[in-house]
Amino acid sequence: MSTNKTYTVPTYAAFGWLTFSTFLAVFGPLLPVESFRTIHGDFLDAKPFTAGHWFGVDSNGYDIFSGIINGARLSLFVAFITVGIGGFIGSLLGITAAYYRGRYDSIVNTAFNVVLAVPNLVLALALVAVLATNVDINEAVPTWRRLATLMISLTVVIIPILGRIARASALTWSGREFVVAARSMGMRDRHIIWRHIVPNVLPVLIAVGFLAVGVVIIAEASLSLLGVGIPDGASWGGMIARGRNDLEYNPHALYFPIIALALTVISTNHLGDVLRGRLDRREARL
Amino acid sequence: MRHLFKGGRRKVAGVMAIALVASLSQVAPSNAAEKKSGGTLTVGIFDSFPGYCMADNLANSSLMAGRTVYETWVEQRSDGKMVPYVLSKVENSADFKSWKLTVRDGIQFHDGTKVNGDALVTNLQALRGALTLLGKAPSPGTAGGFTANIITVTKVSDMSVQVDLHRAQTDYLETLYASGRFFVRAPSQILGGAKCSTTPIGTGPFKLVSTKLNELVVAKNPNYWREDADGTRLPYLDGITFTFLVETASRVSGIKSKSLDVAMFTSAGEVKQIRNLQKNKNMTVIESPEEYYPSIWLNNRIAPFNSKNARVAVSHAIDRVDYSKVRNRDYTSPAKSIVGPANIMYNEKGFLQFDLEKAKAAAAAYKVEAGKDLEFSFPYTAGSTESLANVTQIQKYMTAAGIKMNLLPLTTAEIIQRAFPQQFQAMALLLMEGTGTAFIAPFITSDLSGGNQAHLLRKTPLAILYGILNLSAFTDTVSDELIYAAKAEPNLAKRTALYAKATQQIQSEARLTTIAYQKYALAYRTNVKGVGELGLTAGGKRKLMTNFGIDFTGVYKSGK
Amino acid sequence: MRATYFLQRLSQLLIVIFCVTFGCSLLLQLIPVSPAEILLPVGSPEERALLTKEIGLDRGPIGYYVKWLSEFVRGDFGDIYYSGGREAVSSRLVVAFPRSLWLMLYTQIVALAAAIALGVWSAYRVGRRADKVISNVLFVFSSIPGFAIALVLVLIIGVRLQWLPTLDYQPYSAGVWEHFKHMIMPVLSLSVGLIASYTRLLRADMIATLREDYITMAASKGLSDRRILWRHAFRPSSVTLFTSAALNMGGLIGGAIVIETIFATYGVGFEVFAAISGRQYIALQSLVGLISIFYVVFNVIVDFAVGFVDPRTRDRRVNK
Repeated sequence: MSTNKTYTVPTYAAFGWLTFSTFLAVFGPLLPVESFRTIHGDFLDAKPFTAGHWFGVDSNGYDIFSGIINGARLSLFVAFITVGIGGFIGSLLGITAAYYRGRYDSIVNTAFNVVLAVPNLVLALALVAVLATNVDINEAVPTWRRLATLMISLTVVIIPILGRIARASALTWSGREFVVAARSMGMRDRHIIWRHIVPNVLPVLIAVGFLAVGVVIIAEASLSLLGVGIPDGASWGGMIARGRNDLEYNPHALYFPIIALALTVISTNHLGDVLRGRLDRREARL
Repeated sequence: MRHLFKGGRRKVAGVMAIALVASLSQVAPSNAAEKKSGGTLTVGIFDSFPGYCMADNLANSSLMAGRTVYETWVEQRSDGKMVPYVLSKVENSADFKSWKLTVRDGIQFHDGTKVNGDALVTNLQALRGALTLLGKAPSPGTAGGFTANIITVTKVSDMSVQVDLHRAQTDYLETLYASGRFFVRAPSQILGGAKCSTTPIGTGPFKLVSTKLNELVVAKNPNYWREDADGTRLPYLDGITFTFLVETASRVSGIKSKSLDVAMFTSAGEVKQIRNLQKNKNMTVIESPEEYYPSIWLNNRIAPFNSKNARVAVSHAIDRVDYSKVRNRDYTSPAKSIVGPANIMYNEKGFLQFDLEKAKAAAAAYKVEAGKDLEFSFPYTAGSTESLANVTQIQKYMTAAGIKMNLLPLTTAEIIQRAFPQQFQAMALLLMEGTGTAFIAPFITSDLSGGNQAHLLRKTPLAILYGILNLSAFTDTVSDELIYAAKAEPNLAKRTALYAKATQQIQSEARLTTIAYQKYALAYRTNVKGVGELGLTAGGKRKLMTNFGIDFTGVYKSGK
Repeated sequence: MRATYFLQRLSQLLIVIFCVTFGCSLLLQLIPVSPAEILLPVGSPEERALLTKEIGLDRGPIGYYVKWLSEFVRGDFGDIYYSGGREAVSSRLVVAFPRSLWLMLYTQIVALAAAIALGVWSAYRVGRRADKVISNVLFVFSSIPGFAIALVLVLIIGVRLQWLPTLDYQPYSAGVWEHFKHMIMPVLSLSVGLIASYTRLLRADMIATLREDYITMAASKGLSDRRILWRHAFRPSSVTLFTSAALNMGGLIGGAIVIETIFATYGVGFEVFAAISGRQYIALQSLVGLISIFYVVFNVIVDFAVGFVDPRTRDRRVNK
């Protein structure tokens, strides 16, 4: 089985791709690439490998290479931040619920169930629709606020997913002898959670968190296809939505962002799997 | 008006005439031996169905669907002249203030009731809000504004009705046609309360079977009044299914994969697809004339466009030739007037063309006047690629002239909701169309009742309906009076001159501006026959293709 | 014992439904613009006041919710408003719901059938080439979003090859083949991702089960591999698989928004999207309520089904 060797070629490839796209995301603005919003009126529909436009130009005149670089920034930024915040809140709730049990646990658990009862996309769509309304119509809702709205919606989606896993994992750990022993010795709850439970739950959360990054990237792309994703269609999902009408005439406008998106999701999923595999073996040794 | 239910999606548009003649010649000759009856069609359209009552404005392609169920009192011939259709005769007084309309004998509604003078009266009274005031019929909506010139509607005999107008109108029949929108509705529908919106009862060649979700299904009306030249009762088709497909890609793949027989497109954002379909052997593509004039409406009532400097700066800043090239790929022509050359109001004088230096100067003058930089917000349909690309292009011109343009991404519903109460600082919307002024003047006059004190809605809350059609929200008695005078002028040369002066006045004040004109296209597979072959009862033919597509009465299916 | 457990579960689930719907109705209160203004863009203040009263928005958040709920349980899901009138949500659902139901059922059948075959096979051949190929191929496919697969399917199968129609839905009454023809591509696009995740679940559980003592026992008794796999190992290993499949039902019914848009299937997911983009918040509330009920009902069904398949779980759950 592939998990026997910890680091295989695909693992290096996945890690490499994520590092590369993170590099693009962080240093993209410093690279000598034109803004993705520039309209190249003389290069409409240019095919890939056109001088100055490596990946070609779409039918609206947007350079695809600039789009991919800029999309890396937004897609990854949104994904990592939402999973980070959602994971933090979710695990905080999940771990404490598992530790304290009782009524608090059932409230948290019900809350998770409530959010999970609504399909991801429906939930995110509804939140975006309500939160992005402005009273004075001529005052444009600034891009950062629309981005924040989107991220809040996706965070709400992520919280119960990671929260449940944190809770389940913490539940098994808080039953272990060393936790029971610590409790009976009168150690403070906060201390026990921090010292004994969190370090054990965290690896599982990181592993699942990688999978969640993939979920968020795809969810954002779906929202873009429905017209409420990252503002101005600047993400990879937005590029796919834009390229949809060009599928027949300009397939590259669609293929490049799909490949970038799929590679990223494959990488995060793979790394999540590898981490999980390592954990499982550690568990088995215990 | 027809865009009440559509956002900025296909609004900003543009460019260039490929002759209608070329498309006319593509119509296949009919074969007399061919069996024409039977079969059904599936048609892809890009507008949704808001409903069928007076206030429900069917837009473009959904109007095409609506017009299979409904007909109009008069019909437009391909040369633009109005001829009686469900009416049999039209007479007017010498001063054009009184019109006598006679209904054609022997036509019945889908529910079996007869079309007569009473039905005509009910329709006209419903459109002007008279029945609403009596609590008998739903609100006419914006249609109330279009009929604001009427003083009284009187039945003179069983089959004829007299309409008296406040201001003389030589083009009253155009108003009665309202660019194909004032349908002949059965009184039972109009007076049917809330069901008015969901149960259309017309006189058309097809009857409504069902409206489900995004599909409108119509079936042959066996009692339709028209026959073809051979004496066969029309229509030929058994039924038509209209499917609402907002995505261009869905319509293109639909017609290519034979899921659709017919699909409609607009030049606003779909040029590439239209051109591609034109190359397809299995397809015939017909185009409308370039008679649609999308406008940039500048709100003259509120800042910043209550300042003429601001309006002038924006009008001068737009590079219309570049826009037509980049956005519309020279498929339609860049604007040289607020309306196109086909329209009677067309006049290049006073139209503020692209001039970067003048734009900068006007923006600077605005800054001196207002004490701040020129800045405005502009809505576009969130999630629509074309819409975003269109406004981004305009934004580029504004930035070059030192004007700040903020983009407002909004849902279609929101844009519509706020467009007619004139809440936006500026917006793009296609309202004006055609060769005449019935569907143009209401949007650019300050009071479209022409000061008609007898107008029924004047003292009611519905009065708002005839003030809001002028999206630029300006008051200009000079251009108003020129337009009223032109409408009353029977001599064509004199009328044209008066309109030209009105246009010049509006353009030099930069009330609104236009970037590029627009047209519509319709693609159908080779098994669809008879498009544009059926003549009108009064002689001549309809326009082959318009913004509301084609007439399906004489269409049939043959072969694969 | 069973009855109390049942009641306990039921009350938990009712709480979930309550919270979801109440949350939705709170969203309505959060919008900065008055809902009547949204529903009646060109209406007089009197008309708007009348509508506010009719919807129950003048009664405060709780009064509104009670009114909505009492209508909801009687099958009145509110109306969709447009300038000239309104349409009952229920009359639209009559059309949309069967479409989503079929779509969901076919997707689950395809996904489960493929996942069971692949999962059992790769667990049986664990570590061998077949297992690796299956795992890797599925892994890649699970990372490509369903809509991307859908777009490519439309281009190749619909437009280039013209084998299948790209749009619309046909009911059974239009002919069985007609019905399936329109379902193949949407079902494929939806099920590819599911096949991958279901296979992984089943494979992992099967591997664990195959290591149990009783399987070794059975093998030593000389039972055929096929018999062991299907009769002894599959049933206890399939619990997670079926649980996860059941939990997906609600999501597939209301959440297939993008696929329904691409293929113009126009089921419940599209209704949700239309309600959101048309700002029909009352319709939205009812739709989300219905979807959550679905989620909850399947939750209950799976609970009992799992108890039936594997009695150990039932006891474990009760004692939890």
